[in-house]
Amino acid sequence: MNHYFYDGRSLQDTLVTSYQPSLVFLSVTVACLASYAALSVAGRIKAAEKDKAYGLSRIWLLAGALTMGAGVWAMHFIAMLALILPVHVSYDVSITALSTVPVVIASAVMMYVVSRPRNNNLGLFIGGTVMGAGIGTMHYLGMAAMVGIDQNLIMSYEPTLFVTSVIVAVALANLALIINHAIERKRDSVPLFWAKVVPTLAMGFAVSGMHYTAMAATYFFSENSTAVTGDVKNALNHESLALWVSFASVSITSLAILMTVVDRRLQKAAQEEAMSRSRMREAIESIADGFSLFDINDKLVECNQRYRELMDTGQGILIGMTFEHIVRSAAEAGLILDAIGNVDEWVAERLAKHRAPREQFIEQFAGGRWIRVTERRVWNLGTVAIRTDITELKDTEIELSRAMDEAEKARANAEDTNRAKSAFLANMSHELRTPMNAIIGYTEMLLEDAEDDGDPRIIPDLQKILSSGKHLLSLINEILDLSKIEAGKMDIYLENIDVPEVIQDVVNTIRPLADKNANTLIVECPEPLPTIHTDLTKLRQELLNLLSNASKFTKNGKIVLAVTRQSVKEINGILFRVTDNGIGMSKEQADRVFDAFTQADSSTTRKYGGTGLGLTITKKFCEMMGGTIAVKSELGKGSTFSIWLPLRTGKPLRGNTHG
Amino acid sequence: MARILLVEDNEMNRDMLSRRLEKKGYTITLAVDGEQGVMLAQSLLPELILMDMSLPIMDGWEASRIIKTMAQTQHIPIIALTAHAMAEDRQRALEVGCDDYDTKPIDLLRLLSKIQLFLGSQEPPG
Repeated sequence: MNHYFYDGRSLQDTLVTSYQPSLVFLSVTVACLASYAALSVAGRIKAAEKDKAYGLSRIWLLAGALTMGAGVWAMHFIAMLALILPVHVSYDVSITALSTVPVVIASAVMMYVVSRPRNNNLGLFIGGTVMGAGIGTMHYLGMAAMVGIDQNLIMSYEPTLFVTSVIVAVALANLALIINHAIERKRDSVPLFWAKVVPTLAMGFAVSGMHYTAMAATYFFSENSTAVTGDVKNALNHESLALWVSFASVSITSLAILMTVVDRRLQKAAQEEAMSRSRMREAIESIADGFSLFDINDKLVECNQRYRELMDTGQGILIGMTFEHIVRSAAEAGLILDAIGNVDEWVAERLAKHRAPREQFIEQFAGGRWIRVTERRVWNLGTVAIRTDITELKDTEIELSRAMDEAEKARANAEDTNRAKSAFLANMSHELRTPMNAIIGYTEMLLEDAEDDGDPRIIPDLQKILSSGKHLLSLINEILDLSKIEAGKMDIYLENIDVPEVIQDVVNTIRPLADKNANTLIVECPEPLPTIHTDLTKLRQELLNLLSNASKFTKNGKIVLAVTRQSVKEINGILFRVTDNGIGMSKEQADRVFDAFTQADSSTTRKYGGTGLGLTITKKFCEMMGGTIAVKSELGKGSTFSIWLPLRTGKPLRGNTHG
Repeated sequence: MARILLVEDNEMNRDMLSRRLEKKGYTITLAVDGEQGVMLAQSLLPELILMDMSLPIMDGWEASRIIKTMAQTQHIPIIALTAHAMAEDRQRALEVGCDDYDTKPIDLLRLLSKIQLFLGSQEPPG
């Protein structure tokens, strides 16, 4: 077998060659599949190196180089099978095997170049050129392996096409790498299909284009010779070549399919991850609170815009910054009010809180903002922190507490005022009573003197002074009582009281008043009554109040004091009922009859006297002793006042219990 | 004629009550505070003591307590004179040993009946 560049033999001696189209098509397909597999493997190498799995990346590199090499080799020999020569040929085994070596090495170089994370033009050029050269070397070595069986086969190459074939290989390989690189840089904007197909086709055509260009440069001539037949042992016949080529093709195809599946899966996973990541980002961005995630080394992994707005001091918040750096910057910039003046101390405290987060806390930021911070340790992940702006809430709270303080102050003021008023009334009453006692006392003395041996004409005048004085004194006493009740200083003294005895005493006291208006006073006390444990003075005063009112507002009438046993809500008690047939009251008047300083109308005071405090005091006394008071009245027909007291007084509503 | 010791710091009340009681035939000795009251009770040994409760230097309760603990005076009846509606004052008066009480302003007839109760009918008011 001899190779020559075309030496000017008569081209009429050239063997007539033709191609079997289906095998040509197959050869191109195998080249493309191998390219696809190799470029996909380059992606895997990249991924493995990114994960720092260098062992894996080497395995991928080897697999890629072998695939590409085998691909180029298989393409070549499928193409050779497609070539129909009028001469029987076989292939030298050692040369055939050797032909794979340069292309595998070239493929390894190319794979290495393609799988670099960053590539410059020179790198790509070297990769493409080496690959192109590898393809060319493989081709011409493969051609050299070809021997004629029954005739000596002579090949000669047309130089221009020979050069062209090498240029095609180098140029297309370069083009494939450049396209691949360009597409990788703009992965997002190029449709996935074309991103795979275009560089694959370019590389596939680099291989097959080189081959067929080279074949076009080849002229086959035959010489009859028997000299070469001795090499048959070391030669591959068509059938075994077809077997090897099929094996390589199937392997390449399998790897290509496998890569497609793996790649699609990985792509899908990557897409899903990207999708979930972008969804996650959107979710994080959409929360109104500041979100931040620090890894176990306390470096910022993730945060949203709101967090940046809160914590940024103008130098920016970058992923990878440490927690301490961020909070210290914020503290030093005066963003956090608590930290002003003691940054180091505050940061130390803040870090301790961050390392062992327990409960949420509130930080006051510059500009009057209140931020609630919630931190959580997530096992094996780091710390998640949420910052919520609660300024509005806090402002409301502050306002509320201020309002409450004011209300409390106002209440305390009112209480003080009330106490002062009560104290004043008590003092005034005392101060008023001393001279009143003197007036009454001296008037009585003068009356006694006048009755004994003085001037009887002055007696009526002295009596007027006396009764006015007594009236005034009773008013003062009532005011004193009420002020004591309202100040909570009215004490009650409980003792066992014989009811008929009290009634007798009260009736004796009131009878002169009843007689004055020509009223009949009737006492109904029909059954033996039990003793009652209550305050004697107050019971007397209550009964006297009711009876004196009845006497005052009734003329020529009947006043009945009825006393009966009565249980209220299963509590044993005594009911005292004072009924008259006097002037009575309208419903409106009756409704207000126990209010302080109200009499039926102002003319009542002029006509009947009194302070309007008697019934108020009576009602208060009843309540203090655990009892009730009620009124029933009809204008012009009379009134009935009922007092009910329990046999035993429990805890009084106000004041202190003694006895 | 029975001797009554009137312990009262208010000058008008003292004058008024002593004159009215004298008119009824009693001999009245006056004291203006609790301490003086105790001293006069010891030196004069009156038949009865009318003791105001709110007194300067030594109040009526303390004076009554002392009088009631001393052997030579403990038999002398004491009527406490307390302010109107001061139930607590009356209670305390009875606790320190006073025999009775009457409320101010003085109702002379009522007071006289109480005095007579202690002095008996051998000393009717004149």
